[in-house]
Amino acid sequence: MFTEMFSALLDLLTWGPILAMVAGTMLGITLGAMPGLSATLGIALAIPFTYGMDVLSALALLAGIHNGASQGGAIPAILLRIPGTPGAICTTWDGYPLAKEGKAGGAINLAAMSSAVGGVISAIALITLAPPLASVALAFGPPEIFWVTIFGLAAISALLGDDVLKGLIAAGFGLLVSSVGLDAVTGHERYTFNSLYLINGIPELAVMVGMFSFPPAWQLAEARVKTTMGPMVRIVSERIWKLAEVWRVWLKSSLLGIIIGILPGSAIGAFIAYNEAKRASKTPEKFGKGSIEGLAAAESVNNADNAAAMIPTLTLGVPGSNIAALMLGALLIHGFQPGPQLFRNSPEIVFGYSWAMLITALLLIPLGGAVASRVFAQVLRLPPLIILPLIVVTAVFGTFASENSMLPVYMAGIFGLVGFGMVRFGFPIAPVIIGVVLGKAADFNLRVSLLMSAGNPSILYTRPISIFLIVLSALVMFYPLVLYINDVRRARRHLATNRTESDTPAR
Amino acid sequence: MNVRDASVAAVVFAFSLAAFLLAGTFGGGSGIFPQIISSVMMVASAILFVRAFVRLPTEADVIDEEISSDDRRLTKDEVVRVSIAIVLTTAYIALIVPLGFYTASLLYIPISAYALGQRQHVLIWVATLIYIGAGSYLFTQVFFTPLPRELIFRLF
Repeated sequence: MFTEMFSALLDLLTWGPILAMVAGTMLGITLGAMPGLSATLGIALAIPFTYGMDVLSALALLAGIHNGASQGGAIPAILLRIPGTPGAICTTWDGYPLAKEGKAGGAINLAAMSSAVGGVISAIALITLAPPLASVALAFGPPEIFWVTIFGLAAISALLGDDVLKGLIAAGFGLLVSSVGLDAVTGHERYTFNSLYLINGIPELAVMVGMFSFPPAWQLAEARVKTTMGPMVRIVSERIWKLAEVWRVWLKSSLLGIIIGILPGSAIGAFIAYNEAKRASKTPEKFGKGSIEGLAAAESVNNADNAAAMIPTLTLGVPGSNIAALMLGALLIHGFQPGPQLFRNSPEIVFGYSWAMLITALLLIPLGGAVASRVFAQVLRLPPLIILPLIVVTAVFGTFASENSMLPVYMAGIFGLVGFGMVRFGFPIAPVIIGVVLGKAADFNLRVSLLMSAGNPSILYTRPISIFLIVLSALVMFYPLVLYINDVRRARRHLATNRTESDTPAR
Repeated sequence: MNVRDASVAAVVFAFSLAAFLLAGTFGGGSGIFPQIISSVMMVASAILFVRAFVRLPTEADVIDEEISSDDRRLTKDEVVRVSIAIVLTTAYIALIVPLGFYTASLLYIPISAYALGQRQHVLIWVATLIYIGAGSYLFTQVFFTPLPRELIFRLF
């Protein structure tokens, strides 16, 4: 294993992947710095362009975008109090007060350093934890793999959005989309309506690009915002932190980020790490007013869950986040099936990607610090109304280039409209993508399990690992219901208290 | 009562029912998986429909928290602006084959920016030309992708 690990590192340290990592990190920081755009959008837009690249350069580019965008979100969070990415909300609490004190450069520098530390620790976790987990997963048969995919879908549906029912419907929609085309077991046509175009199914890329690129672009049109270029952003870089002050926070937040990142569907890492840093701090009163520890905690945890979310993706084929789902799609598009077999058949891919996550995290120190405060901060001057058509053109260019055909472009347009409608009606998008990506595997393993047992469904619920996964899926699905019941109880108590207060005569 | 949830639940139920019935016509057991999925969707949409009428107030409802999520209702002005963006995107995608990639993009980027209220002419045209130039380089030099032929070349 060590041989493969180091030969993957040597493969990565060649011109193509190095350029891809630098370009990806810069692109990621730029995207993350633009409020409204995200790593998810960046990766969705970049995947089609990786078709012509060798797989290691492609993964290096995507790793750079992933790490870069997570850090880039800190720039508008610090300068404008606008979180560039959802994970940067906690960054605004201490980053913006520091900027108001004239320490914007120092705050961006600290954010970059914290992100780099979080990213490096997370990548080390990916390199060390994924192989043993994959060896365990090799013992899984078709029924277990079926339940693993169901668990992944249940976790994402229940935990990623606000509404488990809508998450479940979205996942179901994705699974139905994945079943369009020829059935992999019998070769029968499904939902093709006798159209030749649908025989090979709906391209995953069209769904990913359509649903993740068009809705955020159209949402940029919602607000009547400034339509002119802003003034030049001038930032003076200075070091505002001491290692002794932040190393404990970095370590604790990064470990928290890894644990939370491994769990599918968790999007609360930044809040937990921020609260923990505040609880453990000797100066908790500074939190929210420009605390160095607060900013360090928020940024290190943001990047710590990046590589960690890839651990279940690469070992079990179950994505832990939106971006992990897109990465899973990217691997499928390049001809690799994520899961335990990937470690056995193509270890250079897994380790190459893991090293790319580590190196791009290190690249955040120069690119996310000094360069970001001078160059990337300038993207904040671009009006969103110019960015909107550029995103659409990039999405169309990329989708066309993927198959050299307009059909995926039309499909991406249709899925963009569906995605926009779903967002407006409160449905999460991620379960659709995960349903599309995992659907074929779930279907295939269900059918093979039934063939193995001559049609007896008991094979699905009598094996010990299957029972464990069924219980886990049920717990994940019912957890939001427990939260809802608690919420209703609290509301009743709140109402009762209000009523008692209003009934008490004033003295 | 939550009209939006009730109506969307009805649409999802109808969609899932259609998917379920169609899956029943697939041979060789290939309908098993779509039938299971569409059944789950029907149950979930039925619960969503019922919940739209009898949802118990939660703590957020009681303390009247501000809604800041993506699914908040759009104002009339926002609806108009988003509709313009969607219509222009649809027109752009539809016009790529008849007009050609570069011509359609050359029209789409500035028209979209102007239609949504952008007025900085130099910025719009510089962004358009740089972007299309970069796209052209990628297609011709990196991907070697033949694009739909430009209308202007077909005319002459």
